[in-house]
Amino acid sequence: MSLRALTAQPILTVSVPPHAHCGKTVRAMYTETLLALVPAVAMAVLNYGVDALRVVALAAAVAVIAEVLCTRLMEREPAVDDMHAMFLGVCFAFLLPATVPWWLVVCGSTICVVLGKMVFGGIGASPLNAVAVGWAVCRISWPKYLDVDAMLIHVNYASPASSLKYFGPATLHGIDPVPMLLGQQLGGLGAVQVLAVLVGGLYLLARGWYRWEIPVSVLVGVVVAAGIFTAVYPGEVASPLFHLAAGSTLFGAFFLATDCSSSPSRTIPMVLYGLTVGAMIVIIRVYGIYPDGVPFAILLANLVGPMYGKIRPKPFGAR
Amino acid sequence: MTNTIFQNIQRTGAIHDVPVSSEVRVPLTSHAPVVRCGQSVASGERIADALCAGIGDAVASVGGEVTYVDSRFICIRSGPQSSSVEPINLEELAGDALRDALRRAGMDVVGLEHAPLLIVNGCEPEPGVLVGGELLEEHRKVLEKGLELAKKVVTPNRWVLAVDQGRRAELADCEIVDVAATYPNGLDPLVIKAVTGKENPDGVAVIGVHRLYQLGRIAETGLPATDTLLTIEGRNYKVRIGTSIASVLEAAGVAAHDGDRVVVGGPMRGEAAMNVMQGVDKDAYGLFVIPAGTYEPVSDAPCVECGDCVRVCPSRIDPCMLSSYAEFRMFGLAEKNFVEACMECGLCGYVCRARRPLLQYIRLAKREIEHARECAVAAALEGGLA
Repeated sequence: MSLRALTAQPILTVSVPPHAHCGKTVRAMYTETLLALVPAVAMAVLNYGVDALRVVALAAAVAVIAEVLCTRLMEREPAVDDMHAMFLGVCFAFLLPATVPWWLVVCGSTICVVLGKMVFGGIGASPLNAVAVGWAVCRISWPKYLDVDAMLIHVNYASPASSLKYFGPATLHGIDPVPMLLGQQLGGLGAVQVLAVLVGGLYLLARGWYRWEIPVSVLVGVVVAAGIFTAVYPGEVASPLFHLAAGSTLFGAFFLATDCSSSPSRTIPMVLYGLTVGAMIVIIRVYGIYPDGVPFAILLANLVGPMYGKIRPKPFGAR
Repeated sequence: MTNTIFQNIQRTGAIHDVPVSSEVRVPLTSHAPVVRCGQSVASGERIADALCAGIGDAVASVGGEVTYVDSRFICIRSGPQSSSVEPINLEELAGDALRDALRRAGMDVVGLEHAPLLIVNGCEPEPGVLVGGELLEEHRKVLEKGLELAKKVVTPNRWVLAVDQGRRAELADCEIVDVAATYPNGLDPLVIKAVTGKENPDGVAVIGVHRLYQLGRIAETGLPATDTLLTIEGRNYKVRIGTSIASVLEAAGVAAHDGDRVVVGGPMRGEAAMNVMQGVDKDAYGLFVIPAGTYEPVSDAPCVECGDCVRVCPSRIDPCMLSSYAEFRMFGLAEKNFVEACMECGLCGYVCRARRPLLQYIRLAKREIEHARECAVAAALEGGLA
C-alpha cells in the first residue's frame, strides 16, 4: 500500500454525521419478518399438507428471480439480498389456496414483484401494496382457481367467510372457534393460520420493526364497523369477533397493511389508514361479491393513504 | 440492537491533562492566515482573520515558530517566544466593542447579542459527552467569570441555567431549569423551548457551558483561551487547542487502527477526522474512535419509507422525502417542505434502516437554497447598479 509508505499513522475512514447508528437494516427487517412468518408456514403444512410448502417455496423463488431479471432489465445492481422480494413471494403464497396450480403461482408472484414493486422503481417506491396487487390481478383474472371453496373441496374444514357470504350468519353457529383459530378453515393457506400469524405479528411489534398504530387500528376498525352493522341489522351480520378470526383479517392487519411504502408514517394518518382498512374489510364482506376481500380493502386504503399523510404538524418554529 | 455509544456513560475520575506536544496544528474553518512560515509567534497571538461574521479569529495556542500555513491549518513548533501578548483590558469595554474584542481573542460570538433573556446551556450536547457536568461541578468559578462577561455583552434582564434533569448544579444567581436528559433535548433550540415554552422566539441568547468556559478563561487572564475540554471514553481531558489527535489518543490510551473512524465532537453531529495528525479545534467536546465494521456503511440505497425518521424528527419535518428531493436536486420542493426547520440533530440518519445519509442530504439542500438566495440578491444588486 503506497499510502502506508507515506505515513506511519493509521489511515482513517471518513464519513458524514451521524457516526452512530441504531443497527436496524432493511435486510434485518425483512429477514425477521420472514422469521415471523415461519410459525404460520408450519401450521399451514400441518393443516394443508406439503402442498402448502410447495406453493410457498415456488412463490418465494419466483419472486426473487423476477426481481433479479427486472433489475437486469433496468440496468441496476440486484438488491434481492434485502429479502424484500422473498417476503413478497411468501406473503403472496399465504393468500392462495394450497392446491393452486403451479403456473398461477408463477404468474401471480411475478405480477407482485413486477407490477406491484418494480414498475414504481423498486423497494420503497410503490404506492400500493405489492402483494395485494398480485393477488387482485389473479383473483379477477382466474377467479375459479382462487375460489378457496372450489379449490379445497376435498378438505373437510369449515369455510366461515364463505358460509357467511352465501348462507348468512345463522349457519355460523355450528362453527367451532378453536379449530378456526388453529387454521382449520378454508382460505389462503397461510393467512388463515390465525394464531400463528398473531404470534408472528406480535413478535415483529415487540422487536420494533413496525409500529402498533396500523395493526391495532385495523383491528379496531373491523370491530367498530362490524359492531355498527350488528347494531343496525341485528341477526343479519356476523359478530365483530367472528370477523377478526375469519379469513385473512389478522394477516392483513399485521403483514399487509403495515407495508412501509404504501402506508403513512405519522400517528394520526396511520390510525386513519388502519381504521379505513378495517372498515373496508367488513364492508366488502357485507356488501361485496367476495367472501374475504382483505387485499382489496388494503388496496382501497392505499389510495386514500397519501391524503391522510397530508395531516401533519407544523415544523418546529413555524409561524 | 443495543448501542454502546448511547449507553449512559458515567464520568470517572478527575480531569486529565494531555501534555502539550512540541507541535500544534491550529485548525482553520474560514480564516485568512496573517502569519508566514518561519515567523515567531507568541502564545495567544492572532494568526488568522475570520472571514465570516461572528466567527472568532484563530490564535496561536503555543508560542514558537510557524512551520506550515495553508487554508486548513497553521502548524506551530513550540519554542521560545520573543514577545508576549498584552492582556485585553476587559473592564473598559462593553457591548459591541467587547464583543469585537472577544472575537479577536478567538471567541465565536454568533448569537451573543443584546437580548432580554440569556440561557446558559449546561446540558451535555451529545450522548457520550460529559464535559458539561465536569465544567459545572469542577470549574464553577471560571464559568461564573464567563457569565459576568457574557452578561456585559448580552445585557439580559433574566438569566437561566439549563441543566440535564437529575443533575444538581448552581451557577452564580442563575435561575435553574431542568431539561430532559435524553438526546436531542440538550440542543439549543430545544433548550430554548424548554425554558421559554416557545419555538425559536426572538430575544434569546444561548451560550453553551463549553463556550462559557472559554469566555471565563478570557475573563480570568485577559488572554485568549488556549485549551478545550473533551471526553474520551467517559474520561475528560484538558487539551491544548491544535494538539494532534494522535497525541490526545495516546495520552488517553486509546488506539485508532486502519479503517476506523475518529470523530471530533460527538457521535451524532461531530466531524470525522481526515487523519490522526489533524489538530483538535476549540469547539471539540469529545473524541470518539469508532472501530471499522461497527456499523453498516452509509449507502445511496433507496428509502424504504419505514417512517422512523419522520417520527423521531424533533423539527417535525419529513427527512426521508427531503433527502429524496435533495438527491434529485429538487431544492425548490425541499424549501417548500420546510427543510430549513431542520436543527441538524442527526437522529434521522441514526434510525435510517436503509443507511441513507439523511442529514448530509438535508445539509446539501439547505446549502443550495442559501446559495440560490445569495445569487438572487447579487443579481438584484447588479441590476440596480446597471
